[in-house]
Amino acid sequence: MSQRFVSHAQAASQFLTDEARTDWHDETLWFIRQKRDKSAHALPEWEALRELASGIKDHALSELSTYLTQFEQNALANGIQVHWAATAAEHNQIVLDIIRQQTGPAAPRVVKSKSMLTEECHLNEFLIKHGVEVVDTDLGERIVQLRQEAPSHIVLPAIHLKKADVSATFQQHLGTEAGNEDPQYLTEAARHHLREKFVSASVAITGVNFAIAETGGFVVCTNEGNADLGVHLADVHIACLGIEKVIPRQEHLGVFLRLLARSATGQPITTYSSHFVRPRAGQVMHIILVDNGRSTQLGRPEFRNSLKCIRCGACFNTCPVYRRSGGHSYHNAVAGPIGSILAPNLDMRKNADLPFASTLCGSCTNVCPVKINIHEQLWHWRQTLTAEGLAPPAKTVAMKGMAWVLGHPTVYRLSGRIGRWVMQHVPALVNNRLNPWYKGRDMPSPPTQSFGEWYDKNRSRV
Amino acid sequence: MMRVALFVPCYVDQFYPAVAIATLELLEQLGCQVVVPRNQTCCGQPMANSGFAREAAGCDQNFRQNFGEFDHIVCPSGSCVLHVREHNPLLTGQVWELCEFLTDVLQVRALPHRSGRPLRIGIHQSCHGQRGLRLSSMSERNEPYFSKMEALLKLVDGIDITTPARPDECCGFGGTFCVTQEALSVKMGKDRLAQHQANQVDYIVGGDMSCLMHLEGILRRQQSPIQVRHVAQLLVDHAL
Amino acid sequence: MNNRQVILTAVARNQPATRPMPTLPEPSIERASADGFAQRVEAIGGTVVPISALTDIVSYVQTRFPPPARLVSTLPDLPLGERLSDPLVPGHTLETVDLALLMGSFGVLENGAIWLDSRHLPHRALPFICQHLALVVSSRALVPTLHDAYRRLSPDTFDYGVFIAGPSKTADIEQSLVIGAHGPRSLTVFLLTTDPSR
Repeated sequence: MSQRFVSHAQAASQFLTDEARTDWHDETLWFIRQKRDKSAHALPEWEALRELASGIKDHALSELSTYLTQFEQNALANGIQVHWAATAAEHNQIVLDIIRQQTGPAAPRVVKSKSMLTEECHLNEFLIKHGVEVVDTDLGERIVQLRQEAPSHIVLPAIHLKKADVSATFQQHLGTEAGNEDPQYLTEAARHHLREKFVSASVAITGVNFAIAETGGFVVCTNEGNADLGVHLADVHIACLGIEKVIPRQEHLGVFLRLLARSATGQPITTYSSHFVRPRAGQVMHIILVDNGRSTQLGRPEFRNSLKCIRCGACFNTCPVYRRSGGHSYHNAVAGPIGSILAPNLDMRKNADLPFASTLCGSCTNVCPVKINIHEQLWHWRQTLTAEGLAPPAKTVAMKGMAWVLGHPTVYRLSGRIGRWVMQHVPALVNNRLNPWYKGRDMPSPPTQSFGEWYDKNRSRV
Repeated sequence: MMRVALFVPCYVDQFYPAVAIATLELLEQLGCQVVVPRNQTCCGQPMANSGFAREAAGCDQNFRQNFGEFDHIVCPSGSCVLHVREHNPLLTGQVWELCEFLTDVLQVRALPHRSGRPLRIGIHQSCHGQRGLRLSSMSERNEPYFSKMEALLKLVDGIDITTPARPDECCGFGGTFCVTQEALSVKMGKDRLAQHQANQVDYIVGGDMSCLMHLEGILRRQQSPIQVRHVAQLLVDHAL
Repeated sequence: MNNRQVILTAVARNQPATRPMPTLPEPSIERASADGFAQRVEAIGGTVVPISALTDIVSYVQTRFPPPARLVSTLPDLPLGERLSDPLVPGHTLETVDLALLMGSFGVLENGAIWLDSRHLPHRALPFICQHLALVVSSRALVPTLHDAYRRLSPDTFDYGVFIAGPSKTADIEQSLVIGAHGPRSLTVFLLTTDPSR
């Protein structure tokens, strides 16, 4: 069944109808941006670290095929099984096959820690459709899963929800007291609920923050400890990663882990930074390397450096548009500024509105710990999308008309005079509800003469 | 005497001639010979930022025809300057935003004394000026504080400069964003204004009339007494 | 072509010309101070207990975790708790552990993290499933930054390793910090210093 498409602009204006809640959302995320600033500004070498991280990623992407091969060889030597998925569908099928192989016809119980890749692939829906109970174990992800919602932020999945929302959800699903909104109480309830899931799961799925070519190992970062609890108790660990996550050497982790949590939440490091190299005795470990459009993005010079992203979410927290429109308005697994440059690569037509969900203010580019030129890529996507014919027809006509007027000085001067005359003498022609400017703003008062006209009267021209 | 060409953005030409006049007079007061090419129109940014850079060829060409002969082109808009620098590579002369031309090229260290009542102002940095042209430091980066506009305003007597709670948050204008995302744009503008209103400013002063036009539209709708001014209007000596 | 070949071929075709590998910063010159490390651990929600000998731990733990608390320890020669010798013990049997007392390899001044790896871990689940965690780290085994930390960790010396920085935590409900998400509800760091001035 196809759902009616809601553009970012439509979803944003819906979000904004509750202004108090919009303010709350904006301030909550701005607070996180401030924590990030405090942490980043406390490191004198911050800008040098960003440069270093960006340089390592540039290098890694330029020799990605070599590093992927090296990573695979070392992982295999470590006793890890390695799979390759060209598409989201292949990824999901590989996961299902591994689960079936493990548990046979019995109803398998799977726990999953945060992985934006599995969100991108819509793994949960796929597994549930095939009779697999999959439980998200990150608290925020569990909350949105119980509500049958998507995460609205890559680091803070339930940031759009208030305590009262979580309380109502937990009352319904976990039987907590009605009206008890104490985060301590609600977290404790989730702890008990999820511990039961952890100890009974046979398969644990995790994402990957960094994969290291030199060792064949990988690193997963959490604050809650949910990834580790899942994989250390389960018989099977499946780690899903996008192919762009490979870095050359273990020592490079020093650079990325210094930047990641500081950029994300302002913490100096996440509580747990777990390094998986070989399976524990009696455990089976799988790695699925997923392309799903990444190799295509690698071949687009203007957009390839979006693949440097380490998923810290700093660009979300700083974005004045994201803060006032919420993650769901982006209709993509990864929202925010980075999502707006990744999504068109996955589906240009469906995501043609996202690169326009920005004022091009450039704050994202400057908080980015790996120096992705996000706002410039938004600009380039706009050019690409309109060239593909994906702009609204009225806009195309308007832009062509405007370009013609502004390209011809005489036409420009005449149009200006007519326009100002209309605004002075027939203001209702512009001051009406069809003019989106006028809905929330007054029009500028038109002067009797333009600067050009003033200059002609008062000064001599060259 | 330095010869400069004055580039007046199209919307300033049509809606804010006083800003262009202030810029012209300010440059002249500082000893420049100012030329205003007659057939200038627009830098092409509205089309380019909407995804139609390829349609802006006429604007680009017209710009070069008008300004190609000048070594220094000065413009009272950071946004237009950024566009020309980034997207009109065939232009040979240097395009300057007004404040950076004053601080970096003319190296203005003093301005005439200003008379009249003291003013309390809030500075609105445009994102393109601030982050694009680096007219001031930004809160995202770990770098020493600087602001070219503030340095100039500090040369004028009787101006009390306040800083909004979020020093460099976007006002929400964003070119065609202001109409395609009307609700968001107005909300961002209201939030930006609230931070200046908390500082009880008389004027919001900026280097880009596009942001200020948007903020002024909201101020007027709110029937607020706060007014917007281009920085040139505060730096120019009206007594001369 | 199989998936692997399809992907690697596309990547090789689309990757840009080689960019240089940047060089990492030189090792820190200054030493990591024990006081600075202790402050950092406290700032991320841990509790620091300075000790001058491992035996100092015994009374501290016995006071706070009296019987019938279940203690698991990897510290040799301390009359505290049980030892886990079988790595194949099912992890969920550790759910009833009240306190796990483990030896950390070294600490990192800049973030308060302590490194633990499979060479010193009887079961990987232990530091996560226990209700409370205590780590011992020597003030001589502190490094200033993570760059220095990775210089100490030669690849291929561990099967699994983790930096632990504070107790498990979450702020997923309206950004309210709650200590004790899924993992330990507290982290105690026994900071072993032989400096008599402490």
